[in-house]
Amino acid sequence: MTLKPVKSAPRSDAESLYLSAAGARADDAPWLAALRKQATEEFSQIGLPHRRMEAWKYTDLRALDRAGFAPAQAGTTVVPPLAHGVGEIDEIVILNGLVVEESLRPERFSGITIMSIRTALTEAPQVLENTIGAARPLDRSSLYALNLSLMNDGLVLIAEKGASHPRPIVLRYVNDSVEPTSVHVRNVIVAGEGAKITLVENREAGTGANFLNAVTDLRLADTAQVNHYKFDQCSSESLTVTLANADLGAEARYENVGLSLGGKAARVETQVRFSGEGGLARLGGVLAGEGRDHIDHTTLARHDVPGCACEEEFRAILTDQARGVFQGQISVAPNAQKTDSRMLMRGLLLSEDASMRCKPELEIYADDVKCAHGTSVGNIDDDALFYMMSRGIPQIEARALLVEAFSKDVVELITDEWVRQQFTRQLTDKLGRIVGDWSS
Amino acid sequence: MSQVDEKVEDLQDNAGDKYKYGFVTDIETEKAPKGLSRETVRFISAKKNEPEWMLEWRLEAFERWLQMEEPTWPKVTYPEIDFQDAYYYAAPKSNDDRPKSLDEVDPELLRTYEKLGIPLIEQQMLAGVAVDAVFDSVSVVTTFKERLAEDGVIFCPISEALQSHPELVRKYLGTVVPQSDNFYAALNSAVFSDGSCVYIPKGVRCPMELSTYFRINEAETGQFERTLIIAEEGAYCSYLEGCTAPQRDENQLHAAVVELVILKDAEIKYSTVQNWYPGNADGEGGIYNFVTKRADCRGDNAKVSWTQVETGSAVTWKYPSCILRGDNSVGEFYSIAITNNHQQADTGTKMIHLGKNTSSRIISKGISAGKSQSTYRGLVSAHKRAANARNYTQCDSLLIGDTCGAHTVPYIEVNNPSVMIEHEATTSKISEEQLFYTRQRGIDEEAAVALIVNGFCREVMQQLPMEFAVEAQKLVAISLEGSVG
Repeated sequence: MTLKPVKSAPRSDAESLYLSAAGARADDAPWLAALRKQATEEFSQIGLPHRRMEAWKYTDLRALDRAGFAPAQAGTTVVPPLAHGVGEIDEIVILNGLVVEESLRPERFSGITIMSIRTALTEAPQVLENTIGAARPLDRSSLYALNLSLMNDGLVLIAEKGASHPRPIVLRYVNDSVEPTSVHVRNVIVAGEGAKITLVENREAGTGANFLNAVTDLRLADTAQVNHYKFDQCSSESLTVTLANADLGAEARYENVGLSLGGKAARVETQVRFSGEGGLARLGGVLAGEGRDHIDHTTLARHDVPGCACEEEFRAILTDQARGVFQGQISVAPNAQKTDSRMLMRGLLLSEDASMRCKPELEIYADDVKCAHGTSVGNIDDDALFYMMSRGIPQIEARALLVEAFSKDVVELITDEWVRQQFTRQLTDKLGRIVGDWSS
Repeated sequence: MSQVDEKVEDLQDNAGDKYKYGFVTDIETEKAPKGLSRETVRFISAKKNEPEWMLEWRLEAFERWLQMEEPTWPKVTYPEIDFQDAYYYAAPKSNDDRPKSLDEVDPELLRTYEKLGIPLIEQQMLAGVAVDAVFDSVSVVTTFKERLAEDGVIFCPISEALQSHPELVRKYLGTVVPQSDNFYAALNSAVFSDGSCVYIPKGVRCPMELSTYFRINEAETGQFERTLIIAEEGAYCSYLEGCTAPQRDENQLHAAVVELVILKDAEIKYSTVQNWYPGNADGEGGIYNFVTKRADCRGDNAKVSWTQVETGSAVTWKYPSCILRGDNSVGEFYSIAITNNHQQADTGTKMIHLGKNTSSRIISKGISAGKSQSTYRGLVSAHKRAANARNYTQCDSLLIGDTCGAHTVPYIEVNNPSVMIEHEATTSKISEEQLFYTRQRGIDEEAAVALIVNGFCREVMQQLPMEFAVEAQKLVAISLEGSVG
């Protein structure tokens, strides 16, 4: 019976603003122009993701982004290098959504080709067509479509068979606009057989309110190893939505750990597809929120082949009116026997008004698998606090120690030494504020 | 070992892959015109001789339903339901003259019950169970009324309650599940035909287990039951619900609503064994079971316990919920969901913690075999005021064979820092060692599976009242028939 017309909300200001910026770019190849057209169409029909969409149930972007952010213009700032990284890392700057070409220093890489998407469109179009053109995200949201429709640039990194890069490659998203602006970036990472790279996406707060919508496609060939980390420093007026879309070959290893330190809405989504036997993914994240932060970590692990493993470890530490969201889905296809997956999410609420939403989901179509998930949400253990205080540790320190220990399992997932140090440093700073606020 | 013997018997009974309860009783029924419209709603209301406000209430629900969309979020697939291609009311013809005793009951009906294995008289005498047997949509016979009346307990069809205690029904109906709660609840509110109404007065402990057997009989009739149970302050009652349905090829829609109102210090224990026709081995036919069940713990220290054994229906969509409004109130949910062949079940619970020191416990056991899909979907939500709320959730899935699916979709929402919520889920299969061990001792594979599965479900089985526990164990065995080897 077709009694019920599907209700669709009227188009919001934000949606109209994004649609007005959509359209073909002059240097688009025909396949890309077609993709963009289709994506624009999709976005114009669906609009921004909202709470009536199951995957966005707890992060209502339509409500969080009413006015919209105009696409950013090219920036002029000369971005100084990261204080803690000189000599230890390779920095690539994406200023207002455009790769700063001078920051690409090919001479520092061997066996690895790096270029911007803009360059790749003319110099390596085939690579883009094989990756962006063939991308099949496990869950395609309208924001993904928006990214496809509006993206101008991003990083292309191709590691040849056996290439191994010794330093973390840090991709810095910097914004110097004063007006509220949006940036839509697409990165393509291809790791050949046995290649090893470490990629860090460093989202910096920037000057004004801004919206970062970044999609990173990762193709890991057999036995390749990619360590992928995300740092989000997002101001309280800004939005961050990042999607990592990884496809793992046989015996490939993918590590993805994120640290989210707030924002009006920060959504970190990781989608992993196991396409070859023996793949391993380790996903982790710490959500540290205060004020009115809204932080969402969403993972989707899809086992299409037998014998892969996925470990997930997430922690949320929230105070004030901060809201944390964790959605994790592990999906096991009918023939993906011997899958070994586990997922653990623990949340710590440190104030009366903080809240947490969790949805750890298992979707299993094979019988010989090990899949488990666990979730707990609560406050600091009074017994542990009492134990420490009875041994002479002041209450505030005891609390700080317990909160820090709480996130330790996630920090330990990180194999890269430099990243682990940065992670610990940034987290400790933030926790100092959170626990300090809370005790007063 | 008794269940193994029983299983062997059942297997003999079930020779030829026939649904044990698959038969159609040929009694003339009085039907509403096919399709759903305001006229259908008026027809049903008039048939029931309902008060004016009830008709308005139904029509309001119908208007709301027209505005609503069929939910698509459950992990179930079925062909689109044509709501205009079904009958919304069917009553046994002998309804005009309600029987005063069993002797007056249509013998055809009694034979049906016999085939179902519900010897009413015997059950009355031996088990002390008062049976409110629902044949299609009208409750035909209600027993043990006198004994219950002594204690002031009201236990009657809701249509009768609308005549004898209209104010009671008016006060509580739709207060737990509002008319527009969801698509199927709205549909039920508009066209519900009958169901049970139970009222336990203050301080009364209901002297016997109350029981209703539902049975869908008339072909192509949607069954829309509405049950309302009210436990006044300090009252206690245990309610049993069990169902079987005859075999037919066309899918049938069942959209029931159950509302439980639990006041201060009261307790309701609600147990269900659901064994409706699940469709044949190729997934043809079977019942669509879209049920809204909800308990509202309105007073302090109230307690509700849902226990369900779901083995039947082609598609099940059911989330018995607890609203823990009163301080210190307790909600429990024990569930076994078994799916085989092409069955699909998306079932679970909702625990809404509103009051202080409320606690809830969820034990869910899902068993999938054949080409079936079983999903646990549950919400645990602790609101701002729910200081010191506690929840423990355990959902275990067991897969038999590699063509079925078992899914877990828990939702956890916490808005108070003193809340403690724990959730655990596991997925496993029957191990080769277990099977080898049992077979080595001379137990055939099917019996061994039944034995192991019964063990897997033990925590839930223990919660069932005696009368149901036996039937439930048999059902587990029957449901998994042909799933191994």
